Amino acid sequence: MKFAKKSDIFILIIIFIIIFFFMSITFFRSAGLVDGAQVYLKGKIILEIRKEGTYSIYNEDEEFLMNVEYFNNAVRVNEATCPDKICETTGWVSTPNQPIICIPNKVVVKPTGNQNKAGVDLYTW
Amino acid sequence: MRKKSGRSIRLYIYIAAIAVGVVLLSLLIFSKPTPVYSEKIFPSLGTVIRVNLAGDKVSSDVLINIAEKEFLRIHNKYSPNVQDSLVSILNQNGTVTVDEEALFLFQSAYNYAALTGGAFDPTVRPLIKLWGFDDEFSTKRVPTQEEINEALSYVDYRFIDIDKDNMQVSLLKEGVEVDLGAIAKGYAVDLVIQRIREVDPKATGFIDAGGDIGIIGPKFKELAWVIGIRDPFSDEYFTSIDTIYLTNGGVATSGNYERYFISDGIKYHHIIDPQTGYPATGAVSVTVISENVMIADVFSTALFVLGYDNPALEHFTDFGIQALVISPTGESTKTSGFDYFREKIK
Repeated sequence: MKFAKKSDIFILIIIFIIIFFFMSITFFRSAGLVDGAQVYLKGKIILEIRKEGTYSIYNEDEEFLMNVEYFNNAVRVNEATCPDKICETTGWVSTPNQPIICIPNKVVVKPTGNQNKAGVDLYTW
Repeated sequence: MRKKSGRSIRLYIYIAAIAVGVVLLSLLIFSKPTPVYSEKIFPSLGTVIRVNLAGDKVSSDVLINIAEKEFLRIHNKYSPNVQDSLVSILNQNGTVTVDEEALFLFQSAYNYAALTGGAFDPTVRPLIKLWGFDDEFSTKRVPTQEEINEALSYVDYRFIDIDKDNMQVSLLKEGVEVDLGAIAKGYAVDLVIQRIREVDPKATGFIDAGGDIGIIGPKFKELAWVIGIRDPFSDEYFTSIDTIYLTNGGVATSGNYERYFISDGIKYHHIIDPQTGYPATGAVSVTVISENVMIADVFSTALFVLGYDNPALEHFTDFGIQALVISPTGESTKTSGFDYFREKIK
């Protein structure tokens, strides 16, 4: 008995291509890309960033604290008013597992995205 | 008849292939790793605390709430920058009445100071203030040698007297000041983990207190947490020089890049050697792994002060730690068991 015709093999190949296509989509969807950021002031979320741009952060007294930039799946802090500028020197962060911390201003900028596939879960420093 | 049988077989092959495809796609699309982690980030103990938790029987938000309240309590009780804290009262009045918890913490600080020959010293605060590292907004400057000598005369853990019978801690010399910062943060992480385990023994996650990390069970109940050790020579904050894998216990790192200022081209960081009064220069980064975050916290500071050329490094494993020390020129040395944590467990 002939196991399969050419057309059978063709259909099986189509099926595997479809499976591979969906697997690829699933993989890339959870590849740990940053898709925005949350800005916390004293532990409370004050801003959710979803669109690319530069966002100015102010405290409760309307005093300017810093700019948060979100471009090309990465987040950074700029023009911070804190004395040590550690948040600024952190630079661009492109993994959702690591927040940018400004201790003097009590601001945390947390990149958002799927953390599960982002490699390193957290850093000791 | 034969032709019909061949068609049937092909039909079964198609159905089987499609069924396998559908099952695989369903698994890929609908399966989600459980449990689901919740995260909260808040300032406390002079740093930012990151709590990442997944409850088993109790809601993650409830557990995070417990953690936040406990950190706030520890901060208010022991921070030298909180006016009515036990440490502030001790520094102002020279004596303070303590409860069991505070007695344990003061006694632990004293004991670890003795064990490390004063490399970790809770009375180093006069020097910290002199350099401007006591607060983010303090003016940072290089003190004169006379000022350092004066401050050094108040730095010695043996100036602390602990009276267990009367539950009192006293300072034996006027001008001595205590700062439990290098031990209280680790203690707080341990305590919060203990509280969470009491409420929900199968909860998993981690607590990150400014790089001092306590692990509350494996990720998704089966995987090790992947922890990057910051590269002390990189300007990028999140570049790892090494990676460790933990399913429990804790890790702490002391580095010369955390808090510093530059004067006349020289970098001065916040880890002050209690013997010399100047920032310790023998290492740029020390990472310590232990079952207990408080111990990791204390020994990362002490081993940083003792430096890369520390012939007794292996001796410290007797206290339940493993350490990685990086020299200012980039060499590294580690204790005999440190490599165990560099192996991916699962």
